[in-house]
Amino acid sequence: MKATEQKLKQVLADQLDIPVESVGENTSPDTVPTWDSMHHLRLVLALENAFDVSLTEEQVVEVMNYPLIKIVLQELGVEF
Amino acid sequence: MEPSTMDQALARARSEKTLGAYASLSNAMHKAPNGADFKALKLAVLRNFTVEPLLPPIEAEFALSGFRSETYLGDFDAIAADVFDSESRLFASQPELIIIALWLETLAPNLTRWDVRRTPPELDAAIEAVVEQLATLMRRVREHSTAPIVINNFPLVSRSSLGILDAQDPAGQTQALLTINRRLLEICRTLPDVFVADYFCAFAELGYANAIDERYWHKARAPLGQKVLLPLAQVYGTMLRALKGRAKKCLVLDCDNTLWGGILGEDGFEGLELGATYPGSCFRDFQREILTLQQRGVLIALCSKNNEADVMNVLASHPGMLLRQSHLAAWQINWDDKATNIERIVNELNIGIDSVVFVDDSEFELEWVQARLPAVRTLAVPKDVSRLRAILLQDGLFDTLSYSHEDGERTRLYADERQRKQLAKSAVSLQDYLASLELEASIDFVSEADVVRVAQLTQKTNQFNLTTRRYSESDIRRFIADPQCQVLCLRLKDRIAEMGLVAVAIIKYGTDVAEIDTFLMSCRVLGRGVEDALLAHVLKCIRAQPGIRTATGTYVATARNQQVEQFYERRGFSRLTPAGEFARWGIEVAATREYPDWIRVHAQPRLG
Repeated sequence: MKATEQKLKQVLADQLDIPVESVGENTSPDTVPTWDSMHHLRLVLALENAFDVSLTEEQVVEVMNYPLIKIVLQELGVEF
Repeated sequence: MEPSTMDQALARARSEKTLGAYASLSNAMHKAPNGADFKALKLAVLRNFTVEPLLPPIEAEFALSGFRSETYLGDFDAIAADVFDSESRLFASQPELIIIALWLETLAPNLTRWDVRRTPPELDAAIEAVVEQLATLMRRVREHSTAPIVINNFPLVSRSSLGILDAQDPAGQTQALLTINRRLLEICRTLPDVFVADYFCAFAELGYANAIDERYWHKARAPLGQKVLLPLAQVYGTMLRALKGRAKKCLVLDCDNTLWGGILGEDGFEGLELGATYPGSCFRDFQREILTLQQRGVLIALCSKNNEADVMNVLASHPGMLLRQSHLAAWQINWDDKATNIERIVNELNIGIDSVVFVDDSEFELEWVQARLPAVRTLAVPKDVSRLRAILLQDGLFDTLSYSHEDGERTRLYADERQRKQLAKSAVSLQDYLASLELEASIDFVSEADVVRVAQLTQKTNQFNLTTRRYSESDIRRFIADPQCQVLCLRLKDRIAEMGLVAVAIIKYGTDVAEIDTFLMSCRVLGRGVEDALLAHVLKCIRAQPGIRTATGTYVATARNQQVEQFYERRGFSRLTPAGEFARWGIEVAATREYPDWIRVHAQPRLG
């Protein structure tokens, strides 16, 4: 399921304005200065748009780094 | 940033309409602040909710239309603070377009929470108070800025607090919302250059559950769901294109399997599918939509590989046809290739190739035209013809924000032009031909009744336009009121028909020099010497002003106005600036200049 992983990386790259190659396990607000609350909002909307899912309120708060985003998307039925 | 990165971002956003592609285009725009090929646009967004997720899609949508927006974003729910301080950051940013983005829950919570004891008069009074508050804000903006204002109307709430009772109640929640929207529109109509962004329809198309994000509304006052961001950005993009005169002007249609089902040359007149029953009804609906566009001022042309006489016979006598020859501005029905034929149509109508939309059912023809004329927007007839009608409505291709009497008359004007060309063929010389037209021009100062048309001409005229300065209706009103300005317009008629208001000049006076700020003419009346009548009058006006000795005019080169590059030079002006895209020309106004002798000029005021 490499394609899904790549698509997820592209969403983060587009929304946080970082190179797609730099997206990985360490990508989080601690390593990406542009990842503020407004970009988090945009990121959640873009994730829902790209993967056709809807995050619950708790999940919106949970998705605070790359591995957690993957876990939440998997919970929502996205296969990696 | 490499230009190729920008091109990639543009191409990606064009082909995949996703939030990601739009975000990446918006990022690319921010990284290349001085990239060529974009026109700068100072945008101000005033808002009472969290619009931030909508901004990258709007910026991307504007970029796709050729504009680089530099955005001033007002503070959250602080519109009044910006508007009532004449030195606010809003006015300091000198916006060219102002978006007011409003959410009713923040603006007037009392109108979204329902109280069954409220009487209809109380409800009306509450609505009036809110609408009047908005009108005050917009009037205040108008005092300091002539920029067009785009304000949104309001979407319906998901389910009324009154349940099924709401539909029984003339003062129920749904009816109240419709009243608010209607009153908002009425107030906007009283203000110059204020337009309504239709949130009501954009949300209705998606449905409340898809369009509104309750989570982020509660967390961050950000009510817009992810599915509504692109549709709303497209609403603003369409409005910008309409304001900037980028709407498409001409629809070129194939005939077989596009205007009707079947192939005329094979199935014959009797065999065409066109009428009240499926699938003929789909083509009839398509034709109905074409006629609406024609009435809105879009030029309709046919481009078909057929025998012309056969197609004209269908237009004249097929009982299922709605489209008739009188609706057409031009046609090329022959066996030549379609790119060549579209170029002929464009030349005949004197319009830009980028204002053409071409519809065909053949993959081959679409690709052929796209490859040779990349500026033409091509649309394919869908496999499922019940969806044919809707293709004309997509992307707001032909959308405009105003409608003038000339729009409804446009096709007739081109039909008249064809007659004149027939006349030209029979005349022996150009002089004879021009004399035979019996041209009459009336030149006047512009009055209030002409403001819409004059502003429209400044926005739409590309070819015979010396400076291509685009002006809004309020700009024109400001010039009329300014004693240092004169706005002149020329109406033309000939022995065949009236052509209406076709040319505009704006003169700005200094102490001893008068500058011709704007000089433009509709391309429909090229080749008659009308421009010389108007220029003669402009120089007479300037000469009549005490103390003015010199008239100056400017040529600003654009992609479309090469034909007027030597306009001033050929009329005896001398060049004041070195060679380049921008050229300023001047002439002494001591001697009087006569009107062309083949045009009868009625001028107000009369000047020697």
